Amino acid sequence: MDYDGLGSAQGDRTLNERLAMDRFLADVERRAFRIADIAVRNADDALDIVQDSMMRFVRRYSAKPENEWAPLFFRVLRNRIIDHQRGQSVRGRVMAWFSRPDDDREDPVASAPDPSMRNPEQQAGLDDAMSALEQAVGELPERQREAFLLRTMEGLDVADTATAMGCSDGSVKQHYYRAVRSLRAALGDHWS
Amino acid sequence: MSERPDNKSNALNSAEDEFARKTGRRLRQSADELDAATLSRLNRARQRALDELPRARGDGFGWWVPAGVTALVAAVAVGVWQAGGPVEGPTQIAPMTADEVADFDMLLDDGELEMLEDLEFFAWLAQADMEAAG
Repeated sequence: MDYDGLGSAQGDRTLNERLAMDRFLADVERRAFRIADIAVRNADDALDIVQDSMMRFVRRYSAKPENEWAPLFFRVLRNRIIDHQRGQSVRGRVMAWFSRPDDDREDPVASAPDPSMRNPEQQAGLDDAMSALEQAVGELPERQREAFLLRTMEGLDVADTATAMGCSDGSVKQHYYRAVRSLRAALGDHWS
Repeated sequence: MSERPDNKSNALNSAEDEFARKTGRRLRQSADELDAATLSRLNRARQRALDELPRARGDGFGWWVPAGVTALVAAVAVGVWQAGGPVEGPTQIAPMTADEVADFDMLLDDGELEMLEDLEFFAWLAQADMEAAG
């Protein structure tokens, strides 16, 4: 029996799997970061979310066929964003509970620098229209924002967007439609 | 009145379609213009994720053990939290709402173990709130 041949075939398969996964993650990582950044408005948190999503995706879905990876990855990313936002909300409630109305001490959370603020170089790089678009998308209701970004930015079709969002095709169409109309109404001056 | 989710009224007109295309193009462009530091961190994150591949493809047991332990700890913790003392007779457990199911899912997710450890604290917090409210 040709054990060397078997080992070599196994090695080739492992290498090919790694290359395929590397190609896929390299293709989606920048847009995934932008989607997370727009949702949580904090670049460091967005990077953590993308890293965690990549690891969870690889652990759970790497054995799935490659043509199913994109919606599954964005489903993982979406869940991590929601987890993050819930965690922030819980932490906010706990902090609010600990603060007393008659407490004169400075609130460390309120006085901390706004993480959504960009440094001057970053800010200079963003033109007005882009800033307005980013802000308007960030202010959309959660499901509308997801549908809009997955459809327009990631280019997923309705069925894959529905898989990523865990809802029906009809819901995707409705959320996407409402998102586009809201954004157009809000950004008409910049994007008409 | 509820709207039908999938009907003709959800179709975009050509101006709206063009707007969506234009904004999508600009958002993709912004993703292609990320600074070097961010790209470097994304690259490192990707390499770390790729290092998980052998675990994902090989020994599934290694993944299920911590997940199983997490689920068991969560079940016990939630049971203790909801009972709030000795059980007298059969208890009726109210069906969970969608939000509660999502919260539970989040608690079971690996990486949220700190939340489990904090369950007792949150239970105490809720109790203190109720007492303060009279």
